[in-house]
Amino acid sequence: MPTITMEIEELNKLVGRELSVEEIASFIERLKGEVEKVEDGEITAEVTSDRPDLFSVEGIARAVRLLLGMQPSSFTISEGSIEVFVKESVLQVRPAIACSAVREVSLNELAVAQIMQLQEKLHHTYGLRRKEASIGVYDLDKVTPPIYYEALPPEEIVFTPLNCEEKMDGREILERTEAGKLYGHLLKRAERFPVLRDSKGVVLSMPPIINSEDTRVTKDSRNLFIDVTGFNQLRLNDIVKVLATSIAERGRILEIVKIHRPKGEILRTPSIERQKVLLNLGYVEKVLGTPVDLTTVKQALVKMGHRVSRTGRNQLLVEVAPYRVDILHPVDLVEDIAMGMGLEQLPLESPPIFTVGKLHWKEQLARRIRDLMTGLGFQEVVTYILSSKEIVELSKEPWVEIANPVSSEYIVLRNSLIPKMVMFLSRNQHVEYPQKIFEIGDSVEVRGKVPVTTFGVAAAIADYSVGFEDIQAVVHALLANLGLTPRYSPAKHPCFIEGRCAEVLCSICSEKLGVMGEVKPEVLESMELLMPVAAMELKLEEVRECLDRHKLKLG
Amino acid sequence: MLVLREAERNVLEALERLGGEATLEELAASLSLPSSSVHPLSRLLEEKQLVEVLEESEEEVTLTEEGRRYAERGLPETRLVKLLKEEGALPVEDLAKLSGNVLSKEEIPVAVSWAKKRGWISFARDKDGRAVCSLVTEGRAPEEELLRELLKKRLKGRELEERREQLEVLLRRKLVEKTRRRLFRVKMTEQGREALSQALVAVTRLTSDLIRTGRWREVVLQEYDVSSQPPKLYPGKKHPYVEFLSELKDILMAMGFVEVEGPYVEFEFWNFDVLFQAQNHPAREVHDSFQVVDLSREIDAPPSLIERVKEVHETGGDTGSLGWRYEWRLENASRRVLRSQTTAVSVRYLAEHKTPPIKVFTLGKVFRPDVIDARHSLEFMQLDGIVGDHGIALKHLLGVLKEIALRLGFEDIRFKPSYFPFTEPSVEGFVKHPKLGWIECLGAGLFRPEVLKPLDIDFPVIAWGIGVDRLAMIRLGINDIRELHTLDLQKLREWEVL
Repeated sequence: MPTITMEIEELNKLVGRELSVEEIASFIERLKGEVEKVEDGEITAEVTSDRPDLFSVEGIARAVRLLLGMQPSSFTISEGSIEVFVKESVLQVRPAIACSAVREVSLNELAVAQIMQLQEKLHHTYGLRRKEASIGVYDLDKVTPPIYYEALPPEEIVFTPLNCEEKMDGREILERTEAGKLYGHLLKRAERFPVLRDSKGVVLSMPPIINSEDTRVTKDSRNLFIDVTGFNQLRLNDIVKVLATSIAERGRILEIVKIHRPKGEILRTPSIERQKVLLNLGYVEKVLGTPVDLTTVKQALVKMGHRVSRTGRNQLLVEVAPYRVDILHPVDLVEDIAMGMGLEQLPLESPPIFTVGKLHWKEQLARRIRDLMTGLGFQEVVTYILSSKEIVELSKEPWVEIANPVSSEYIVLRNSLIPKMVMFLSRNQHVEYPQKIFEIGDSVEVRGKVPVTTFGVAAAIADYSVGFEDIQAVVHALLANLGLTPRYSPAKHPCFIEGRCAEVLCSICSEKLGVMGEVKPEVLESMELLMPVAAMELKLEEVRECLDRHKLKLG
Repeated sequence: MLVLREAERNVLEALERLGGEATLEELAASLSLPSSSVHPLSRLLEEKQLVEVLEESEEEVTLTEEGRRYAERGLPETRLVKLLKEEGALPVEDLAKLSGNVLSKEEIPVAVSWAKKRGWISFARDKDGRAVCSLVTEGRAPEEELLRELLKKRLKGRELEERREQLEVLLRRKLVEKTRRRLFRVKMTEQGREALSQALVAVTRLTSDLIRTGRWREVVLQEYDVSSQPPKLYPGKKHPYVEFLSELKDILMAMGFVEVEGPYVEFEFWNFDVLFQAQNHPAREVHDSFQVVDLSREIDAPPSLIERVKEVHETGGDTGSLGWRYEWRLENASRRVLRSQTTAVSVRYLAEHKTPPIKVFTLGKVFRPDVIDARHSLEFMQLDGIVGDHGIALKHLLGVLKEIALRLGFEDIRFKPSYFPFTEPSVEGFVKHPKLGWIECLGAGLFRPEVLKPLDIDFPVIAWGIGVDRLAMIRLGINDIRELHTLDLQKLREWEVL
């Protein structure tokens, strides 16, 4: 979730009230966010990714004003005169663009920082790190429209990038600027780079990499131009809408820009008409589970920035706040109603459903086994399912491997419990012997490229002298007490000494229930474990099948 | 009445067998115990005046290093005459060369002078004027016998007295030396004899033998120091984390929930797409997930479901939603990840169970790439539950969650609005701990129509997920999440049971 910072003073100025930190925190919570830190007059808060309109102090102030019942700020939306011409050449590289302008803004250093923060958060989330959308904000007074969006060979794009002192060409920008190094890969395969220029040839930016120093926004800028480039026109429109409406909180006019697409198509962005949704009161009541009256619903929606009018006895027409991009379905407005009312206004009730609870057969069986194993003197242990390769390699192939691991300690899923037992014992050689441990849990095997979850119990004994019979006695006692009669037959296993390893079979149906043996000295040595170990693992799916077949049904 | 400990009684008995008096060594040998254990016992008995311990010293003769060599190889003069007997007369100056291994260079003068002294050899000059020695008689030195005996055993007292003359010779030749040795003699007293016949024996262990033979009547059970600490025992115990998870399951079962489970390695389809998380939406990055290597990519879902999920993503389908309005790709949905949320298990259940009422829970591991520290783990437990039926609403969600919180022992619960891609309305819950205050621990909501409709579920379903590890840490009193999977056996042995 995005984290934003803002000055308390700035927020209060935009709200127009002197709110305490506690009041602000409670409003932010009501808007799905959470204050993480308050320091030096600055609030750091987490907001949710569905509400980009709250990614800056302007949006939060607007939402708080509405919740306080104050009037929304009044900028006008007008059809402006700025035109943008999209040239054929850019269609191959980064085909879509949406723009807007905001006039008569009054900025200060903090406001400029907030605009940059908003831009950065949008880049990171909705822009998918600039891949899907990249944003530019410019001082409109340094630009002479119309503006041209085209793609040029990189050596023909020459300008001073933002925060730089000298002119560079497109290639140099990728190699020498920080943004170029971070985002250059997005243009790696392009022969021509996208560029925005005005009618005098002044470069505004080279999307999605960097803006030009010449058109930089400062605290003294009065009129701003915004562009968002990318691929999906809908998404670009959402982003430019959020940006323009946020910045317009500090200005007087939000201007619509006319975009000429190649082949004569004309777009007007941002498309800012309020989305209209019909809402039935019955539906609201059904979702919330409580009767609500029209007035309450209406008030709640207004507090969330929507316009509401009545269209029938139990029906409302909601005109969604223009900066909202998260209203996909009427249910989203029901959430807004709950938020507008305050969740504490809603009743709490138990569901009027009669059902009988039941544990999964795995849990039922695990509980019996845990009782028996602890009765046999074994300490239960719990290890991670994620493992290092060295550990799973002790057992058998194949296993599930993570493509994007964060540590080689946790790079594969265990496919057996036995290696984990040996690993555990190897970490406790300073602890008094004998050591008797067991674990019940899942492993993941791979059978023909398909991952299969298996459920098992493993146990191990380590002592100065320990042998096959010690662990066999445990296996026998465990199965006999569950109601199965095991028999044993010689087997091979990568962990166990040949001739001291046996398969455990059901004596009635010969189902293979598991394996046990004395751990090979070379395995012990590889784990730097200086004590002999006898270990076993039983497959509990198979144990369950035998119990079902010969004895009792589980689960 | 006098009481003897068992060990004391054994000493007295052995002493009696040995005639009432014995050295410490004899006594120890007869008890098959080391002298070091018998000595303190005899001192104890001495304190009780049951024996006397007499300290004596005794003269003893032992071999010197030279003596030991001669004892093993024979006296040098003996070896010389043997040589002369075999070789005939030899020039003195050649003896060293000719004697080979029989005599060392240093031994030759000793051998010549003693053989001469004993009259076993004589000297003459040969035609070249060299001194030649020749055998006179092959005599025997009586002290040589004594020397050999000393090699095998210590001689003392009377044995030495009888062979004083030979000993004198050996002493003069520095082949033996005299030493003195401390010696303890244990002697039974009159009281000791009485005690042996009359005293009761104190035993430490009441054995089956004592009971069976009735001998327990004749013994005294020795007093223990009952205030001392016992040896340590480590019972076989259940893991406290698993115990806590069992408690949770019991609570859910008691509330009428049925436990279900699902796979760890999940298709993105089930982990994200069915849950209406757009493939290009930032929400998909909310749970950065672990991708897996090289597995089959055939989604285990009916084609009609896949088709409807595609539709709902692209256009909203018949749900009344706008959808996400982008091109949905099967190749993204058919990638596999380690499940990043147990909600995937809940929707899998819904895909196969469409008849209300539905009330199930799942408690299982989920995996997310993260830093590994005291608060973050790559795998952690999530408890997910759903309730579905006609008439189920947000108020029931809040009600169920409150009941769970109270059953878990928390004082209260409060909610705030929140965002999850698959629920709407969505809430986050905080439970109140008597000491720690409000703890954020759960997310919940009503499944979106875009989730339910493609699954053919025509009734509302409430869903919630609880981050269980945080609660487990509070319950187990630990501050580091990694301790839930501790590899420290000692810690587990000492962990108090819940």
